[in-house]
Amino acid sequence: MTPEPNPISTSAIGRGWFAVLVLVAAMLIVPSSSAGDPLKYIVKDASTTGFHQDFAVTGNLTRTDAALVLQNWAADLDLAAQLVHNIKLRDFESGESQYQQYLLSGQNLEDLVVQLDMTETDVATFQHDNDENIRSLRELLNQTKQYDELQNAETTFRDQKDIANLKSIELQGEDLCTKIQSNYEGYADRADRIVNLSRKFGIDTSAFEKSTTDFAAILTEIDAVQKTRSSSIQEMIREIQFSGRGSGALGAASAVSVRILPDHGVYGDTLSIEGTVDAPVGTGVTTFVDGQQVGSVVTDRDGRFSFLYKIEQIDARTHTAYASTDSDISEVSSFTVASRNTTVSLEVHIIVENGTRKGVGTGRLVTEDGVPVRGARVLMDVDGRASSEEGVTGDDGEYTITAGPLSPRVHTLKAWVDPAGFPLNGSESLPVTVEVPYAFGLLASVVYLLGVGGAAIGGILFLRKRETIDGPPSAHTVEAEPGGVAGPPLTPTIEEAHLIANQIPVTSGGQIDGYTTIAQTYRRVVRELEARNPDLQLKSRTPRNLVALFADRPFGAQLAVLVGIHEKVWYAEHEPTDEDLDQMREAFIYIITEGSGH
Amino acid sequence: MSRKVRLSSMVFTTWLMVIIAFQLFRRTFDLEIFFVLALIGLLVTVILIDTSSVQPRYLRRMKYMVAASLLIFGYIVANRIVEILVQ
Repeated sequence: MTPEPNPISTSAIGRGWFAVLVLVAAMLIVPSSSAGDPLKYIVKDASTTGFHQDFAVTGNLTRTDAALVLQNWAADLDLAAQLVHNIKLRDFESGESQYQQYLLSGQNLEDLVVQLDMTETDVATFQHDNDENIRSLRELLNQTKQYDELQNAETTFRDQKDIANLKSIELQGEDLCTKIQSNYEGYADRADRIVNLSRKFGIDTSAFEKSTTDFAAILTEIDAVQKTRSSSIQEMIREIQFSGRGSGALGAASAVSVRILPDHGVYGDTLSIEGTVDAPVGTGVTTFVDGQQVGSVVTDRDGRFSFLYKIEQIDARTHTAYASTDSDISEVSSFTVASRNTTVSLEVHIIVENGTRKGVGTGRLVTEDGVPVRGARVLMDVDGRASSEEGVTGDDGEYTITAGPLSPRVHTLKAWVDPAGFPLNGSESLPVTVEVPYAFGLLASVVYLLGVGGAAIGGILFLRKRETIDGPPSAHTVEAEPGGVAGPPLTPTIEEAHLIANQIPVTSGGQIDGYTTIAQTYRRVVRELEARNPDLQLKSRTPRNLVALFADRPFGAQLAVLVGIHEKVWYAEHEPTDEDLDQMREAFIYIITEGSGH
Repeated sequence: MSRKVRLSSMVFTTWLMVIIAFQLFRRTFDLEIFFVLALIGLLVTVILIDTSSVQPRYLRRMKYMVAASLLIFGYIVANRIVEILVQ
């Protein structure tokens, strides 16, 4: 009797191989597609490499990331160069627009440095210098504008013969020159480092190098103008004073005298700008520091005046002061302000604002002498990145800064002082570590529970799952009575056994696949025996164990024959013969009929 | 060891080497991704060599290993979901 092919077995095998092929193809295609251009930068691995300093060499960044960083870097250099050039040409409108682009480009680079975890790299060094340059050029833009505005004011005051304000213009001009000089020195210092770093990454620095010479040219030009302005104003003041007095030699002593007591101080000290005026009691006297009006007083009956000047927002250096009446000005006196160290404290607490967690930093800024600093900028870094928020100290030196939103994890916050404009050295607070809890702790717990719990259930199901044997269920299985329990299957008749045996053979290309047929026959035998002996867990036993278990049964010898053929073909990989198949079939029928057919 | 088991173990080893090779090539070795891809390979292997009647001891042990790995996989997935929720 020719065995019927088993369509279920062959289609199941086909599906299995097809699934494997699809999986293998997908697993090769997906990583291959991104191998040339990696999808992302893994911070935790790259940061441990010794070559992390040079991202272009190690390739720790994706090509896209590296290109983006270098593109921003080059753009920053070009924008700095263009900005300085426009300032030199006094094209302030273009300068402002360029400054905004430069600021934006600098922020983009800072974002990249943080996002790509390059805080310990050359890129971060450049980014820091670039930030300094952005501040420096903002100042230069303001300083050159102010200097040019002095030109207009000078013309007005010359027409009005206002000697007090002309002196103010002269001193403000000198003050601006000093500041621009200091600004230039900082820019030139950074330029060398920037050029060296940029060349390392193959960036063209020619335009940026020209910006240093342009900056120097601006300084030289302003310095020359200031010298001319200074001498012409001094000459004009002398002329006006001479003509105002109506007699005496040009350059005669002024009617106003001034002195500063003490002539030096530090932040928080109060200096007395005092003097005398050869004029009636109650004459108004205006006092100036560095050309800026700081106060007005009136003379007493002895012609004396005194104004108390508190050292606060003024640089640490030598400053000038003078006093003026409507018609006369004093000689210029000077005083020196020394710098002091500062300490800033920081405490952080977390608040919830509009559903987001923010860190509120509070603290106090004082000098080393314990004097609270008023009106100073305090900034707060969150995990090494400057927060966009900043605080200004109050009269008692206290400040409040809100930073955020903060993601739920541990953050390190640090406050630092920007001492610009104060006779103070900057300082940083001790870092403060805060832990932002999950805003949805319960939800996170549920997610973890579902993830791990679901996996546990999946694991158990996976362990319990057994593959369904191909082919129809046993023809002789006894179905459970309604409301009853299924009993053990009946022993099939010889005809039924032949029918079952006919269903087993597997064909391939019209031929019986002996290898698979023998395996299927063995499996079918195990299943049949398992159905009759459910307590023996036969599916978990080895073939030889199976033979030993049924050795004393009437079909034990046939089972040994069947297992022997199965072992020979399946494990020893002998080519199955027709004789093997016939023997298998006979043994199978004998076993499932428990010898009743023979 | 049957031919099927031998072939499967070779394919699985090749799969692991492919994962490692690509990750090293990208210089972005990520243990989580490696673990998940290796688990997928192991699952496929176990399902393909699984027998319908008898179950060798090594297969039983492999299934225990898969079940334990599934717990770690569940934790990794939950972790990623929480990260996304946080953002």
